[in-house]
Order: sequence, then structure tokens, then C-alpha cells
Amino acid sequence: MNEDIKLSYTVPGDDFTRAGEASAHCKATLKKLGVDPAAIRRVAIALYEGEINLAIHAGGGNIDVTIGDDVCTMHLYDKGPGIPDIPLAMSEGYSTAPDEIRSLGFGAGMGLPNMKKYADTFEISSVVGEGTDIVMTVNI
Amino acid sequence: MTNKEAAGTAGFTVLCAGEERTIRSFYCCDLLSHVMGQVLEDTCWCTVMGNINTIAVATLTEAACVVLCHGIPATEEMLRRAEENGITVLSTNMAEFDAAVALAKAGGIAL
Ligand SMILES: Nc1ncnc2c1ncn2[C@@H]1O[C@H](COP(=O)(O)OP(=O)(O)OP(=O)(O)O)[C@@H](O)[C@H]1O
Ligand SMILES: [Mg+2]
Repeated sequence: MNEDIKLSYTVPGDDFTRAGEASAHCKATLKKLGVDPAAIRRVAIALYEGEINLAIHAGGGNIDVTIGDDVCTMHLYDKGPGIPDIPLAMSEGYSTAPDEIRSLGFGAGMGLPNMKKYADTFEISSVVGEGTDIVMTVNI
Repeated sequence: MTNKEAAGTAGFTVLCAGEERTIRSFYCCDLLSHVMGQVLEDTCWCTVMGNINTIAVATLTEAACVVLCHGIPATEEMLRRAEENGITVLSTNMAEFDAAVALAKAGGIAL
């Protein structure tokens, strides 16, 4: 039983050159720990989708990652506008991304579905006007 | 076929020479989350998205190389990130599907 590794990241709003740093750093950390590459990939993709959402939809936010012996827990939270209809936001193809974001290749409406697909557990809660909170885990 | 061999195919030029990898499949898509939703490895990804996020996604999905199609230029930032991440980026005037067909033919890879 090793001690948990805790990583914290601040994701800036609207800076897509920096969004991706958390997932890249987390990926490198898991690699150093010798975690199975398939699990690393699931963590990295789920985290990247989450980071991009924080940057695009929430004006930035925070990520806390805890790496335990057999599970990687990712907590993403923001003080953005919140999500009025979570089942709708979770459905494939639904996106409110503006045109300039779409022109960068985002806005397929597949980010939240991908996060749910790649994570072993996925929980989302949101309050309009207060923010959004996501906890997802990947078994490693 | 390796990404290096792909780079030598007629109609393709190298924008960034990354780590050598073998191409085993092709994927044509411009929507990043669609690409991340696929289980693709050793893929030659043909796209028109010439920005830094393309490299982030190519790295996450462990693409064998990125082919920027329709002669669309890459941003400087994209190529810098590609260099850092060891991602090979090729350029062609062909459309995405035609680029994939041309490389598959050159490499004897079934589509
Ligand atoms: N942190 C967030 N705060 C507020 N709204 C959000 C947040 N995350 C997602 N949303 C809303 O949920 C929608 C769906 O998100 P999802 O990630 O699935 O798609 P997208 O970001 O629009 O496009 P893609 O991820 O495919 O590039 C978004 O368009 C946005 O309206
Ligand atoms: Mg998204």
C-alpha cells in the first residue's frame, strides 16, 4: 500500500494552448508509475475532454487528481455558468460551443459522452449560476 | 509502412519529422472529440485542423502521424508542439480521403 499521489491543476479560461497541460502531466506521472498504457490512455483522454470543457464552457476551473494503488480519481470543478439540463448535455452531439471554438475542431458534443465512456465511474452535478462538479475514476 | 516512409510518398511533404512509428490504419475526421472517442492506435489521421489541439489529440490517441490536407497550413505553435511531442506531421494538397487512399496504396495497407 503506497501513499496516494495528489496533483492539482488550475485551468485558465479560453486558453487552449494551456488546456491539455493537466492531462499531459497526469499521463507522464502515471507512465512513471508503470501503470497499464490502456488505463493511462483512458485517464488522459477523459481528463483532456474535461480540461477543454473548463476552458471553453466555464471560463476556467480546477482539477484535483488522486492516484491511489488501484484507482485514479479526477475531480473537476468550476464556478462557471452551470449546466441547465444535464441529460441533454450528456447526449451525443449536443453542444453549445460557439463558432470560433468549432473552427478549432471542438463542438462535436462528444466530450461528456467520451468522459463517461472512458471512466469506470462518472458523476456530474451542476447548479445554474454556481458551477459544475465532476468526479470520475479510472481503475488502474 | 512507417510514418517516415509515408513522408516519402509522392504528393506529401514533411512539416515535422517525429518519432518513427508504423501506420496500421487511417482515420479521416476534423472533430477532435470524435477522434478521441475512437480506439485508434498507430493511425494515420487525415484532417484539416492545423492547430495546437490537433497535436494534443494525436498525442493522446497515439496516432502514427497527422496529415494536414487540402494544403492547409499548420500554425507555428502546432509545429512547435509536434516537435516537443515527437508527432510526425505531413502536408498534402489532396483531400482527406484521397490522402488516406494514396498512402494506403503506397504502403500496401488494406483500407
Ligand atoms: N464545465 C461546464 N460548464 C458549463 N457548461 C458545460 C460544462 N461542460 C459541458 N458543458 C455544456 O455541455 C455541452 C456538452 O459538452 P461536451 O463536452 O459533450 O461537448 P462540447 O464541449 O460542446 O463539444 P466537444 O467536447 O465534442 O468538443 C457543452 O456544449 C456545454 O453547453
Ligand atoms: Mg467538450
